Amino acid sequence: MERESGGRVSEPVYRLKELRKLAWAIAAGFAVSGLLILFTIGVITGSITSGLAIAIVTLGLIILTAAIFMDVLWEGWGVQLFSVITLVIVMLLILNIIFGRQVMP
Amino acid sequence: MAHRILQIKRWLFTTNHKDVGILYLVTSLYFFIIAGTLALLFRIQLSVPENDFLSAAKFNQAVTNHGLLMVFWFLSPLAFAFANYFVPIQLGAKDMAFPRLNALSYWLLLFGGLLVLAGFFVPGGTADFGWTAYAPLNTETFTPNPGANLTAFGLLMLIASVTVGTVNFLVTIFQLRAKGYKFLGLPMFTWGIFFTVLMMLWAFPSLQAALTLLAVDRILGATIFEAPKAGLIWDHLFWFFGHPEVYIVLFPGLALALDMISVFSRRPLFGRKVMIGALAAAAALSFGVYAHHMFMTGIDLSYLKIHMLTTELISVPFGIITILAIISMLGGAIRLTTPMLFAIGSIAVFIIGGFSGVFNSNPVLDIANRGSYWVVAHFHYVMVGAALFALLGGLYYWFPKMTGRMYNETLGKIHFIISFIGFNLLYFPMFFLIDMPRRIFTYPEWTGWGPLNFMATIGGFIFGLSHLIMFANLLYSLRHGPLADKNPWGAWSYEWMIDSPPSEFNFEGIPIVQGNRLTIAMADGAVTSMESHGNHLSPWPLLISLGPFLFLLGLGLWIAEAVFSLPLMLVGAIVFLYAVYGWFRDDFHERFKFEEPPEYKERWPFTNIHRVKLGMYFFLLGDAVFFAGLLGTYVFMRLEAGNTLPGLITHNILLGLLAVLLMLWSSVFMYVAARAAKLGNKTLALAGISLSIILALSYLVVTGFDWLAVFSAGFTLSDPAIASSATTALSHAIHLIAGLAVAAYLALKVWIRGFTGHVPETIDSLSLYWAFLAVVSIAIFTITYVF
Repeated sequence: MERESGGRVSEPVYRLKELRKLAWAIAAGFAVSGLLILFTIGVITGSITSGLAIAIVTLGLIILTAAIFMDVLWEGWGVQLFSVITLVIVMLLILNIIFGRQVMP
Repeated sequence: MAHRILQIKRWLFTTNHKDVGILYLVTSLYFFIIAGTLALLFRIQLSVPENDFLSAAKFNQAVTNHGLLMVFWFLSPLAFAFANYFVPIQLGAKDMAFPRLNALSYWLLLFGGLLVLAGFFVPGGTADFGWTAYAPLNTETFTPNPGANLTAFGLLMLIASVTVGTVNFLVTIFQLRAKGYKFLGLPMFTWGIFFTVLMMLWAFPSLQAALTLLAVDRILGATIFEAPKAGLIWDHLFWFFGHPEVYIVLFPGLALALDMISVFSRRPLFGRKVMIGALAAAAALSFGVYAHHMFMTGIDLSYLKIHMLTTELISVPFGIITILAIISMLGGAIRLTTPMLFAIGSIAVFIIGGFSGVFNSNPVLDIANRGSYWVVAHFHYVMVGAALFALLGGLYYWFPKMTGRMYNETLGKIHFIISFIGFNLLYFPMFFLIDMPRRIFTYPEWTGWGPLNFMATIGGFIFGLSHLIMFANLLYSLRHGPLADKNPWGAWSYEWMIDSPPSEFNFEGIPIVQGNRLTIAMADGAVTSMESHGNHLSPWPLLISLGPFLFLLGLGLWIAEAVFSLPLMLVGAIVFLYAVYGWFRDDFHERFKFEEPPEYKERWPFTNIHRVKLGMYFFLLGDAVFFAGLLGTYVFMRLEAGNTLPGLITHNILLGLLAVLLMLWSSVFMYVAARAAKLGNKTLALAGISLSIILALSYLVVTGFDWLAVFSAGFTLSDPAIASSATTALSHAIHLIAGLAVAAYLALKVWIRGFTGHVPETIDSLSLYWAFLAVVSIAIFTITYVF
């Protein structure tokens, strides 16, 4: 089985790797769905009210979903590094918007 | 005649990186002449007190478009003219990773610039809110000029161009290096472009978010930027892009100056690795300093101090680079050729620009300097002086390689001397105009600003007209200059080891680096250049850009209530759809093949990723910042805009939950399709794509239904929280609709042709895109439906 890099890997190993990714994705699909439903119940019942809790849940769900569905977990450190840098930059923008607010005239 | 038609066809349909580079070069110089002429017009206006050469409105329009055109359509495109031409060669590659996208990037840039220029001809005039377009000045209420809409559309086309170009350069640099070519061995210019495109990747989407919100304000009648304190959210989004943009403009020129200093000093750069580290540090810090542009907005003091500290910190890497550049020249056998003079001139003015910037980092001093001609002098010394002088030096440096002819050295030196004097006469007096506000169109005589302004105007004309010497020199030399050999400067980067001008595919064979030397290997089974790049011409990049140009021009004219606007929009839409169909058709028949054998390429650290998937990764990493900007705006509105209601009240949370679950499982099925494609299971792949499409369509229906309910309940876009969340949802939906078109096409291709070419990798990349949209839908739900 030829890989994109031009290197070669045996057919069963390649197959196993793809099937393992698939299994993780389906499991993550159920896990994220469950967490979203729990989160919604928490919001409707008034258990989750603070902005901080919403932010933490949002961040957690985003990282979990991106890590598995976007293959970040399975790719090399290059992709992982760039993903982390992006997360830092996204957080930088959001935090700047939240904390860089007008308090003086 | 036939030859002439072929030549026209070549320039319109080319995808060759060198041709695209030349197109960038000519276009950037064209915009330079226009933007420079605008500058001379407002310099005439300011040359004497109480002048009436330009009205206040015309003055503002001239200043605004001068800034926009110089920054976006001259300086960066000039740098990317060289980058397109030389980065692939310096890497040991035959073209960019995605040649058609490279051409697309150029045409989007050109048509974006033409849209901005079209604003001048629209009744009511063009944009006049300055290049920063501060809110609420940029809104319909304060800038009713219809031409301003065309400016916003032009900028959006530019951002599309930048996005495509950024992805292309990153994949090229990461995956098309000749075998054995380590990162650290790359020339400084390629390093400079590498850091530039990294900053572009994460900076431009923030501007894209700001402009998208502005477009919703101006076209759909929302009032996002007219909400209380909303000027600050524009500042955040604009300067999150705007400060890195300074380095985006600066880095290519600075890095090129370092290469030229090394070549013409006949010695390697002193502390080369430290310089690369300093560029990396400056690029990283550039995202954390931007609030120094907002010291006067009344933002929180503790927050302000952090940005003061990081701003002062960022002067350290630039100080290191400057000192090492000077040390590199010490003891060298310096040859004062024209490129070297421009390189030294660039470093000299950069020192002045850099030092004057340090003062602005201090909030106390900044209160005095802000909005004065001191700041104008400072940023022109950095952005014009340092960047432009180096890039003009680059034009002389690479002229022999690009044309195969030498220019006239004496005229080149005269050009440098006159332009250097003119530049300093233009901008240095502005340091003494520290008490003159920068955004006034005239001033009374008693201020005493007249003589210095007159001096600056004289300098402006000397500087501007000095470039005529360059144009005359280069145009004459193009036909009559002495023939140039391969390496007239005795330089060592790889473009100097091939013919002047280079052949169509740069290297006749497979370039490989062994011990820092480039060799050409014709290995068994290697694809020769002619075979690997069989078709260099494609009309679709031009037409795909022309369509939106016509459509947006028509839209701008329609808002201005001009005639023929609707037919123009219709033609634009038809051209665009036809061009997309043509692109897909070429792909379906796999007519446009270009790929260098991966085993002959250095691909660290992305060794095992297909180039299409890597490109998709980079695109999505940038897109994440775009959605962060939109969602950040929603959060800002909820915190600051007064009487906005939480999403929990305005939306139906159960419908929101249903929608996000549909999107999530649509993504799961696309993931299944990607795995099935990789394993060669056609039935499962088709089933996965089909289910994914059905669920994605259901998502759109449910979300649309929810938004209908919101508007039916009486909420409108005049609520800034509703408007910003609606913009986010709309942007997400547009992404999804584009993805659905690609998914439907891929399903058709797999059904008819099976897994030919790179179809499995393309489906894998599409599943990444789908996963990203699922991630965004989760963020939209947890933030805009709850908070």
